[in-house]
Amino acid sequence: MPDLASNWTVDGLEWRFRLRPARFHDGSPVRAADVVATWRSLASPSMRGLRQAELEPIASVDALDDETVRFVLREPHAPFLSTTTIGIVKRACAEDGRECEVGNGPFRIVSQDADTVVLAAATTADAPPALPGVVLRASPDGASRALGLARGTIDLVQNAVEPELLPWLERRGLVVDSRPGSTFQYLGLNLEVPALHDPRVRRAIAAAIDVPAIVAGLLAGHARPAGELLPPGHWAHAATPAQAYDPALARRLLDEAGARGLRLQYKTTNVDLRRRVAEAIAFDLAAVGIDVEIRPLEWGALYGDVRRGNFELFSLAWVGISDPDLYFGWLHSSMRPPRGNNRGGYASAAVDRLTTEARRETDRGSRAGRYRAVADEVARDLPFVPLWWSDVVAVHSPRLAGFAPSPTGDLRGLAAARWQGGAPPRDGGGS
Amino acid sequence: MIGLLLRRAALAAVTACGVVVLVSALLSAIPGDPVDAILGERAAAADRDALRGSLGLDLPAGERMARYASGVLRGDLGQSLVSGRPVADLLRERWPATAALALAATALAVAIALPLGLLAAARPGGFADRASLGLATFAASLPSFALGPLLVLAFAVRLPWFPVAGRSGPASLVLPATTLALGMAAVLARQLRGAMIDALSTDAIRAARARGVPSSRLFLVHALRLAATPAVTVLALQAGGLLAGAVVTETVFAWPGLGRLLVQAIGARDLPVVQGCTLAIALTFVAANLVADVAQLLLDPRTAREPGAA
Repeated sequence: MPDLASNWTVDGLEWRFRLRPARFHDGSPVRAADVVATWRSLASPSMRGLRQAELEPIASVDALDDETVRFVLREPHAPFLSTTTIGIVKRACAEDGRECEVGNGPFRIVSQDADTVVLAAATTADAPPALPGVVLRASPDGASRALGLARGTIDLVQNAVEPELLPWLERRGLVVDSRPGSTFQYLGLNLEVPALHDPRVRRAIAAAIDVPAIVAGLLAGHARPAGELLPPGHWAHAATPAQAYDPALARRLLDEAGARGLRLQYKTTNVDLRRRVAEAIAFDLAAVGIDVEIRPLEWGALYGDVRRGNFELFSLAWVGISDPDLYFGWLHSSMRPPRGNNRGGYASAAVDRLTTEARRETDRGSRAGRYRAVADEVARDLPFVPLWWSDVVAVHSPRLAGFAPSPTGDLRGLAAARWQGGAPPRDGGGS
Repeated sequence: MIGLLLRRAALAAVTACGVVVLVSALLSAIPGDPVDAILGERAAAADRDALRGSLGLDLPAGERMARYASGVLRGDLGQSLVSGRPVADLLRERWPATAALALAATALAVAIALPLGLLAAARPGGFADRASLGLATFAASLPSFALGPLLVLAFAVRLPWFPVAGRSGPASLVLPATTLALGMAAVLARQLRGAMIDALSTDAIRAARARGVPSSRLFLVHALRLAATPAVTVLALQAGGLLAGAVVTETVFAWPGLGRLLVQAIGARDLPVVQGCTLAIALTFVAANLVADVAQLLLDPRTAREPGAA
């Protein structure tokens, strides 16, 4: 809610948010009652339980006056703050349980269908955007997206252009704006596979993969090798160094563990780039004596297998990380599927204790200390192999100015963007 | 004719039942859970269970299938798990885009294949014959995910004549329809050539030639009529395939048709939509077969007398 709250206070289990003046797209003011109704509507069964888990710690939410919202939690729960970033809709709409199209952001919805969402600048915003509008369009084919950019029918594509096409687009005058991102790519390991249960084998896998070479060769340099989940700049970043590429160390560790000639199956998506990354990793692992069979799967099948723990190796990313409470659902020993995301079967008393304490602790400094300790434990145990933080790569028309890609890859930057030298002869941009 | 239609209708019903059973069985066998696809990575177990219950996914597979089948009989194809909208509405929305694309591609394919096939058959081994063989080889070896972007690069980027993607008026139809039509035309032209050469060597044509029928009339009327029968069958089946949704081409051109809907639904494990699309596709094939049979009947009435010709 940093967009809507002017400030907030925490007193034990009670959080009070003070709203700053804001207006809905129909001109009516955003009041505390709207916030309360929006939150209560999330708890209704018709919302299909999308965020029920995040509501669990909340005992009550009510409006103290028009500008003050009070949440009372059942127990101390620091990640609560990061869940308060939902869009607020009008009370009448929220109470009806209808789909609400009137919001209070910088753009309002003009129309939407399966493939297209048309947005127009909201005149009700404090500082209305300079862009007259934005058209968001589904463009499922990578080559087609690049060609649309080249032709000028697409003005902006973010994180969806094949790295090897970037130079071609740059030569055609498009702007490639690449910035450090927070999407964390990792190699998932199933610790219940006997060989992978041995930490020396996990360390050997990490040391055998030449991450910088893969970043340079396959990602055109648009990523930073990672040693932990949280990127530099995050308030709980622990500055854990990335594992150095050391095939000699990998061979030695495999010999010690008696795991030479290990055979593993690696599941990944059937997306071209992901397959090439898998092939590069398999090549590196073969060089130290681990035979990897790559199984490219369609997304639904891959995700189903990963969720059920039906894998030996897999590669996935955490996208848009903000609160490190992610560690709890990912690594706490009680969070085995289907309850949580601990698919590899990691169990560490220290990590269990630290992640539990950190979610109850409201002081950010103390939380950060605990999460740094988690990062240290994880760097030692390697329940997964950190690979890299992907950059946010925006490719846009040279006439689009003032657009800053955000680290999480959201499109908030469009509110500050503008056309240089007049809008193109179409109704707005797209992505 | 009536008998043929009745047999076809019965076949369509059997096909529909088979599709419902087979698709249900396959969908429950493949990995991937619609609840995961909808809720995503960070949802809690309680939310998953709640959603699973509200979607009826916790029922045994047999009961789910029975419910679905009885819904289909009442004309109810169920609701999308993702958007909550009726599947029938989604199919109705997407159908026109696919139909427009299929019709345009078929017309274009015929426009290319007819002259090419005839010219090739007129002088086997001549220039047109070799050109048609060249086109057939080229089109058959170039899949639409490669041909589509190449056409876009040439005729939407270098020469900005047509839109890159999307459905926005007749001009946007040209490149996707051409992508589909080239492959069809290649097969069709070779088919027509072969059938024409066969027809020209039949006794009927030789007899007509002996009676002094001018050779142009012999070629364009008598032989073409004989050759048209197998060519129309091939064409109808090809068109049926297109109506079923040209999955790859629709994806390359962001064409909002049935093929795209099916791909999206499979990715999201949106089972009722996958089932609805598959059912629509199967019935389209049955209908295309029927059209082929009827056309064959009209072109060559002899087939009607043969029992089991359907």
